[in-house]
Amino acid sequence: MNSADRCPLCEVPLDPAGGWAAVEAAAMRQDVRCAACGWTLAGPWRPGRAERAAAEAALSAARLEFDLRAAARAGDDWLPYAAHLRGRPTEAQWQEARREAAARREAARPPLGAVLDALGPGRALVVVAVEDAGVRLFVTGGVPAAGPLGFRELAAVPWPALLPGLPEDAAHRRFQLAGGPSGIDPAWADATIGGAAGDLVRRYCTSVDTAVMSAMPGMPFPDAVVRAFTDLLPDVRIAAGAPDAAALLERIVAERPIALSYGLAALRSRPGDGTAEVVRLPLFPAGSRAGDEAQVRVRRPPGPGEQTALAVVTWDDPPEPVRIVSARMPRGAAGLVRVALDGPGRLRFLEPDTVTDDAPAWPDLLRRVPRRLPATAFATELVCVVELGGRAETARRRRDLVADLLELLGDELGGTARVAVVGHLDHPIHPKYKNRDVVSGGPLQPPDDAARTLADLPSPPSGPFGARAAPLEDSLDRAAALLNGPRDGRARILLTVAGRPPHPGSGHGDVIRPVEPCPHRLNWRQSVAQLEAAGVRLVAVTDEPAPKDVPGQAVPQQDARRRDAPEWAVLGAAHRTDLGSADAAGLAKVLGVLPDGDAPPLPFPLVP
Amino acid sequence: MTEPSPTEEARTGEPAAGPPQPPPPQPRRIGLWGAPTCGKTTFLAALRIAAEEGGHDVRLVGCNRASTEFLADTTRQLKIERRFVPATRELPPNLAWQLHGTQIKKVRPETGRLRFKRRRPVPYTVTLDMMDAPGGMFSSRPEDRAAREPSSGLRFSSSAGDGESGDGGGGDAEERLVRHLAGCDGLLFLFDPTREREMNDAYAFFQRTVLQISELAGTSGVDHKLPHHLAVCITKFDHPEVYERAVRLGYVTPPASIFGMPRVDETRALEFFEDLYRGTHAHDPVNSLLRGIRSHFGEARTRYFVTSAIGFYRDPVENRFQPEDYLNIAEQSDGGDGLAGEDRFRIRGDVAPINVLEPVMWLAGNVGA
Repeated sequence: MNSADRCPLCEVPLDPAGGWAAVEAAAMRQDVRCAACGWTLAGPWRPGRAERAAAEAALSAARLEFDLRAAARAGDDWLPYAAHLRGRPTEAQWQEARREAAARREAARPPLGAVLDALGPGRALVVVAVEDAGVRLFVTGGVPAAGPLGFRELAAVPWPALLPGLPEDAAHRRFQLAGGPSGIDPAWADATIGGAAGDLVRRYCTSVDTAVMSAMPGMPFPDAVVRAFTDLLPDVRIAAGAPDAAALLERIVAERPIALSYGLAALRSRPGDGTAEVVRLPLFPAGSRAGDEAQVRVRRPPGPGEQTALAVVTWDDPPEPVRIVSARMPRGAAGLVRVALDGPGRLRFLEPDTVTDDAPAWPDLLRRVPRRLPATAFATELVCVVELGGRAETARRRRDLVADLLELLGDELGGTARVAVVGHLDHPIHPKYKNRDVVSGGPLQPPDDAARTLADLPSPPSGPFGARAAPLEDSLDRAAALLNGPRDGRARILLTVAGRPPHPGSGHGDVIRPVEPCPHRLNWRQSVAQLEAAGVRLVAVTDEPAPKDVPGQAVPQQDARRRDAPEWAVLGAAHRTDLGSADAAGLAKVLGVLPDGDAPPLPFPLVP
Repeated sequence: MTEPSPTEEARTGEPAAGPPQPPPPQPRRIGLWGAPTCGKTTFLAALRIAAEEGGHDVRLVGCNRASTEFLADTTRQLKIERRFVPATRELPPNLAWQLHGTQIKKVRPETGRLRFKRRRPVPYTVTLDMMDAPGGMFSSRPEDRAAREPSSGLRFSSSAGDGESGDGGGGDAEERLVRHLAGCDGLLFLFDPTREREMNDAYAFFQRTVLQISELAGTSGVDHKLPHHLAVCITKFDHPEVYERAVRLGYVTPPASIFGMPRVDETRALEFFEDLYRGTHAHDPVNSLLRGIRSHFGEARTRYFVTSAIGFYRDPVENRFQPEDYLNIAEQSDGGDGLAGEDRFRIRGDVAPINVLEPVMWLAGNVGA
């Protein structure tokens, strides 16, 4: 096609039927104009030489004006398109072109976020983005209940494929998309674009909400794309465009508020029936947005396992997992869990600082919830009663055992366990000193503090000591006072580490092996009754092991000197062991403050 | 009864001085006899405390240095140190004291027209000539006499022997002891109920010795029994095993005052002795012992006492017997077997002997009467 077949201004090919139109226009003494740009192609007169020069000058000015309008639609500067301009504009000409482009700019479209807000929960949306490089289709949706709000690219059609004939060079192509002379017939372009859009609609936009957004509003060919989709999909929504639709979608989905509240799954014992139940500790209320932070305190489940599943779930019934991670929680005191919200379903754990995504799935975690929480799951109040007197070596072993236990509890439970240490020396034999206080110790306090109290307990004077009894009844009286009051779900334990049973409160006990009564008339059975009423488990570590039954012979018939003191059966009602076979780890297990190695770990942290 | 007494022996070495004196009255001698750990040594040690603090108008003094020192040492240990007297480990020299007191007697005046008998206080002096022998010497079992191991349990022993003492376990010592007992006018036989429940050996200790005594002593002039007066002391009344039994069987006489101590009346002591082990495995051996006593000693010359050398504990504030806290000993340990018997038990409160002086006074008032 030579230049005579094109409009000298817009370079759109002339209609072959234009010749006849020119004849008719000449017969009617009228001008012949370009159908695309309106440039006068021919008139009924024959111009003279001077008029021809004036016409050439007018064409050049019109060409520059035409090109400048396209450049003003394409960008804020004409320099990127200077090579394609037919002339060099003055600043006044460029500003005039910009004013004209701005006046023609269409009204602002609603943002894509508003379109998403209007969608119901869980509904999908296909976004048709007209961009500099071509057309891209994305699918996204309304804010889900639990999972992250995302988007996915469905298809990308570059401009050359959409509209053959457009140059590969991006600036040149943008200049032509903006209306620069391209030689493409607008009618043909509309038909071609319409065909391509029809293919995309049929493939991706059937029975789904669709929105169209153009990054190049006001440019002829991009507008043709928008127009093609609106023609094909009457309910299509038009949103304000952005240069990079993917970046816009990324930003939009992150800034959406969450539809449902989020909470951290934790275990507790249900008040009333005591069954284990999973509860949610509030983290983010509905409407929270990216950038919000929340924190809760939980207790690491007891046990040797170091990893704990931190599951953020929706406040829904049933709850849906949002994010589950495996974390290393600090031992002991209530651990802090701090979470940042990066968008719907997007959570970032700030504390603990190291989390991994290798946690079991939500259904697996739920299956691991026991019917009842083990005793180890509860906050613990432990009173350690230690006999300070007796044989020096044995007394030292008793103190060492309790010291090891306190160190272990400090490591494992920290402030969750409150421990009191109570020790007793012997009652003075001489009646003159009978009112001397033989009990010392401290209050319920963290294990580390209790360990210091233990270290400060007095040592007995050297020399003989009472053979049959020790003032255990005085220590039990102190323990009963310490473990009094509302239990509030705490596990209460009395650990007696002693070798000699208590003095009777009155009388002399066994007439064959009599013992003097407590000078303070303290009745150890009354103290035990108080402890039992307060729900205290009684565990004893005695110097000597419990005598084994001789087959065919009842224990009471055995040697009286080897007969076990009946007090140990009471004070070791929950468990009894002996000093020779006890160690801190095993003792912690039988005390119930640390789980047995065979017990399956709890799946979630505990409500503090 | 021709065995020279310690007082005679003591006098033998003294130079004769002054004009010749009429021969002194033959001393009335009392021998102490019982199984190991029955409390013979502590019984002796409690005598002086009982004499001074028991409400009796008597005075007990030693006849020789050993006896005086024994009195002083044992009184200090029991009363001040609140420790038991160490067990007898070898046959000590005979201990002799003089018990000075006053008796109400019907006495015929030596002068005057009306010479019928009148009741009047008569001062008297009794010489107690005791030999505190290790209990093992009284055993009928040779191994006991040879070994004489210290016993354990709630008792303190006078029977412990180390086996190396020169004359403790030899035949000479045994013969001397038997001759001593045979020569006594009265015998104190101590029976430890706590030991009997565990060892059942009181009869064994009794029967051999009584046969040996019979061999030397002959019979009394009025019957075929031995001539001795016998005070059978059921010891350790303060032990809960004995006291609780006595209470349960109704033998305990309530204290005369709130400051007094419970007792078993002498008139019911034999009955209590018979009932003490009724229904237990120790009943038959004790019956054998009782039959042996009745077989060898005249009933009129035998009396039973329920005694306690240290008595019951009295709270220093309340200063009276309290049934909920009366045990006067506290057993101690060093964590091993290192404590000797006298260190193993400490006395909690004041020593208040029960029926310790009474059997001695009964013997003193009857032997030679």
